[in-house]
Amino acid sequence: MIDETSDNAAEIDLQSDEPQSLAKILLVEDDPALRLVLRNVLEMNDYAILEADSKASAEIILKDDPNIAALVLDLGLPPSPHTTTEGLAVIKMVVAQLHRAKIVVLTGQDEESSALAAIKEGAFDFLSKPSRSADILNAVQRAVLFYRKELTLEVEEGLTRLQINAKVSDGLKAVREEAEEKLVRHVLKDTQFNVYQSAARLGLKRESIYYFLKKFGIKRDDG
Amino acid sequence: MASLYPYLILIGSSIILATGWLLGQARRRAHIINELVSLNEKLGFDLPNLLRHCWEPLEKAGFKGISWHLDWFGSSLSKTEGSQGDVFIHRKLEVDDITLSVKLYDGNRRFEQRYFSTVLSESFFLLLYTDMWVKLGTVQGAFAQTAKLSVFLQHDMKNIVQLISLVSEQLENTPAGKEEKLLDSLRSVMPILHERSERFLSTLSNNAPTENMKPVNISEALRKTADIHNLKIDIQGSGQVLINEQSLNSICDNLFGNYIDQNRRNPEIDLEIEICIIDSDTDLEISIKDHNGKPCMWPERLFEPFWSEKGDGLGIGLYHARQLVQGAGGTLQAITPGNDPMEFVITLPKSV
Repeated sequence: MIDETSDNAAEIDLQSDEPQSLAKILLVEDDPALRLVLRNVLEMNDYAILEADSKASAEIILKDDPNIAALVLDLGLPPSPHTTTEGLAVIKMVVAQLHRAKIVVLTGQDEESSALAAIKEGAFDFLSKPSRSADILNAVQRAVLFYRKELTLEVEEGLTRLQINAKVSDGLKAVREEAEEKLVRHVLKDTQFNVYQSAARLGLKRESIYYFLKKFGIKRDDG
Repeated sequence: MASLYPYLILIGSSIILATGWLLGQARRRAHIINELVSLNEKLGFDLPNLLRHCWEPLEKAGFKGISWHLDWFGSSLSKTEGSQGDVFIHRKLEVDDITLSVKLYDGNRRFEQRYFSTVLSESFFLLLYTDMWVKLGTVQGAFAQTAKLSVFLQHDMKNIVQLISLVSEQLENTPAGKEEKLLDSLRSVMPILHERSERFLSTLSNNAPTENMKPVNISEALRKTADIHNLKIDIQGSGQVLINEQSLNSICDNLFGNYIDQNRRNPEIDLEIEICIIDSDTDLEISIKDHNGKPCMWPERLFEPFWSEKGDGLGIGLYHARQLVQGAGGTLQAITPGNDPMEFVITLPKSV
């Protein structure tokens, strides 16, 4: 975890003071019946639900609504619903696009390997099917709590949580570079790719931001 | 010159006799090879069985004896028939978990006999080697298919169990005032669950149900399945077919599933599915075509069980649909006209 002091938190839609009923959950599940039942379970517990049946539709919804607190994600999604490929791609996409949403994996795929892969990619929690609704609700509740508290920390104390997977054997340079990249991407996203504002926020010259853009191959469309 | 005639006649006759004799010998060996091939086919390409029954034709070919030792997936078998001697043709064949050592005992053969003997023994060894590969292919294929089927069924089953468990928990603990909402949700969920469970069961069963055949409105059945999949279809024509309703739902589900998979792979291309129902004397012909569909790259593989284009599907959807259509006395064909989209054509017996 790396902390970053932010002086511009006004753009963040802070929900921490709002009641939990407004927490938005994105259900990413390709089985329409199960999606409907999960929607019901969560709606009856005062969550606002959005639905996606594939990575593509999840990506569109996340782009349209940055205030989604958590995803309940099935790893087996079309076009290959019997492997974890698409589900893991959703986690990668959420992490790469620096969404704050926490990911609760709910999957019927092979437990051991799927859990490891999902957590490695940045999932917040892992549940295997079939799970009790109480377990699903607990996981979602925890995810929303973490989402809200992190948002509060960001707004009130200027702290941003960045997740880095580091191999000790790769040394400090690799970790530093990954942290630099994530931080630059994060700030650029917050400032809607405004190089001047990003440089000011990071205490750098604009040239340095251009240097990072080139070094990490960051483009405006990256999310 | 005239004095040479008798010699020339003698030489010519000898050549004719020798050629005739050689042809006879070759024909005899070819007949024995055919006998071995037929025997192998009759024994279901089963290597241990072929080894147990091969001595009779080999003896006819003039071999003195045979001894073999077979290591068959960890079990050892061996047998000796006929007599043994110092002259033999030995071959050791190995394929994965099967190892075979065969000795064919032969007399001191020379010239053409040696040649015939070699041709026959090589043909025999080739048969044995083929049987080893046939067995290995069958075993490996069965393992791969079982593993694939198990992954698919487990995935579907887990979803069904998850759904049932959540629904029953909801029924037990419905918050006050939310009963109507729950009921509404169950009205939507149950048809999907029903369809899913039927598909699950039909995946497990190879047989097309022939009971409960009844008149079913084909356009209604197509619309019902399309609605479950949230698929827009344009139907022209109507009619009633005589079929098991569950089979018809499965057929529609498998055919539409094909389009849904394609759409998920290419979400930028909208589906434009047109269905034409044509009434003939005894049958209804139903053609299904996505006008925005891509041409089929693998027409010969469409109905091959356990084959899927990207390797990510179970690959029995269309195969199963065809089995069900045939079970109902109809036909299912895929027309793949070069660069144009593929078209499915189903004929089903009309209900009169």
